[in-house]
Amino acid sequence: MIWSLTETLPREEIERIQLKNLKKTVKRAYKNVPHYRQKMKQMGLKPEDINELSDVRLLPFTTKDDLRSNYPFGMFAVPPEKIVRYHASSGTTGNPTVVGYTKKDMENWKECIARLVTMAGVTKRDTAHISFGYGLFTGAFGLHQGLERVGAGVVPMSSGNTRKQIKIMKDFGATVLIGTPSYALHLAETAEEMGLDPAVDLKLRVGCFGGEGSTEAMREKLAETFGIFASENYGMSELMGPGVAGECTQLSGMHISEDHFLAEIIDPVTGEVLPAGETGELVITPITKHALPLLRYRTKDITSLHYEPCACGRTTARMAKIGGRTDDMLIISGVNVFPSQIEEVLYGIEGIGSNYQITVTKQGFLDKISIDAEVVDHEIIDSLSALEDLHRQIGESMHTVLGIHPKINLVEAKTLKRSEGKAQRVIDLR
Amino acid sequence: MLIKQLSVFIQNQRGHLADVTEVLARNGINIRSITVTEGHEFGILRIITDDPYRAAHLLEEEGYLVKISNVLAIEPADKPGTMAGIFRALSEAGIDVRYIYSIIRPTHGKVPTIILKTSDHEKAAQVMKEIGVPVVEEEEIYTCENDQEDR
Ligand SMILES: [Zn+2]
Repeated sequence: MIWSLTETLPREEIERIQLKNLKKTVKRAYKNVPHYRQKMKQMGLKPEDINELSDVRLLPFTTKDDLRSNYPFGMFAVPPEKIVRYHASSGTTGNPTVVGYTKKDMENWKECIARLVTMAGVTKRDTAHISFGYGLFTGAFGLHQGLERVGAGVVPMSSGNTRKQIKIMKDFGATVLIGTPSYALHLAETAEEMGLDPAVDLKLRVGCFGGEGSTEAMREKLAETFGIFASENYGMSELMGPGVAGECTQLSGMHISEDHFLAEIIDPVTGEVLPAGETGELVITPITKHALPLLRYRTKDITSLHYEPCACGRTTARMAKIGGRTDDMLIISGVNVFPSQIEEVLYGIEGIGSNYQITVTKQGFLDKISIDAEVVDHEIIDSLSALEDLHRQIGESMHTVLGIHPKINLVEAKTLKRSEGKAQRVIDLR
Repeated sequence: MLIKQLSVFIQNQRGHLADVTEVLARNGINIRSITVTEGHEFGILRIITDDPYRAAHLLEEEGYLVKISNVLAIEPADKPGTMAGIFRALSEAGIDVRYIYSIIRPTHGKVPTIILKTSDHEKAAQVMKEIGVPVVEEEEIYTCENDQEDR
């Protein structure tokens, strides 16, 4: 089912709405946020200069640091009496980034969540178990309100107390699980420890996961373990919270609520906008926000945008799974290389496992990159020629995608560390 | 009739052979034959042990990628022309030989045992029978007289 007609409008109509909303947002930001007025004045830019959608490129970028240095409410465009909700992102160091919502913002948030849960197959007949922590973090409240709008029965379980979560899920007959993919896997393990088969003893049929990135392998594991349709959604508190984008049942990327968010992909080094389909940093301008109207927010997330209509009937742009953070980007002798590109190549090669390690060194003035990939195919290991073919195939695919020739090492599976996150997958010794 | 041989993927790095064989040593598994095929940066370790399934399981538990494959063991007579005769017969029967190595079973007579990986073991065994080359039974390779005396 499709929640809103807006999701199926012809592209020109979507763009017309986006332009209208963008103009209003720029006006609000210019008029009410000193940070933006000052920046735009420095650039010799006025709200009236935004006349077509591509003019968004004229606007200044916003970063998390801008929000931090205007802590707590410096970037707000409305007085406190207009704010009906505050949230904040967990800052491990220094100030957290604080976000606020007006009544209208709250309505839009519910609408965006209603769209993404509907996309995943949730209806008013469902019982949704929320395992996100309730608090300053946007995840729990965001999903909660949107699920209520759809009419689903919400179980506001919050995080922690895993065994009790299993019991409540089982006794309440939860059909939808909301949470982070890693906590969901932990729930499954705990259920198994309790002697339950999550696919049989729980009634779950849909999972809406977010709050952190997940790999395709994780999605498959979740789908299999719980016997569910596992969908991913995307958002961040600075932009709204969850609700920016979500996966439909076609699993062909996450549909962006484009009447609320204008998405661009840029080269993270030059800031240049890249053509549709190319991989780079996601930049989002929320175009309906009143309390905190951000211009061109740099998400630091690496993805690509696809504008072809989806088989599900929606015409909204789809963003690919997040393939890493710009902080992870490697510059190898002047060429931008994302670990996610390497992961994608390895994922597409049969006989190679999901673990890998990238090592970058400097030899003289040259950057050298090597990739350790695990051999996992039992069938080929009795044949040296098959192994050598595999080795060559990886090298060629890497060259096609990266434009450089990394050294490929086929390694024994046990030599690579197990699932310890992306950070440890790259060792930069330069 | 066919021998269960273990192929283990290993990197060409110092210590890796020791690591693999120590797994077997710790578990009291005896290696009947061992051979390494060398590539540039990796190789294939092929071993025959007295307990192939347990050995494979133990190695997998340690994270090694292991394949159990069938090989044929034969005992050709120790005289000129035997090997030539074998290969000619296999070739005429349309059977390819992928690799070969020989093993010594010290307690077993004076003839060496030849291990063959062919494209069709069943047919190859039949050809051996026709030309009078003895095919060694699985159990004979896994166990040897020394073991029996020990037990
Ligand atoms: Zn779709």
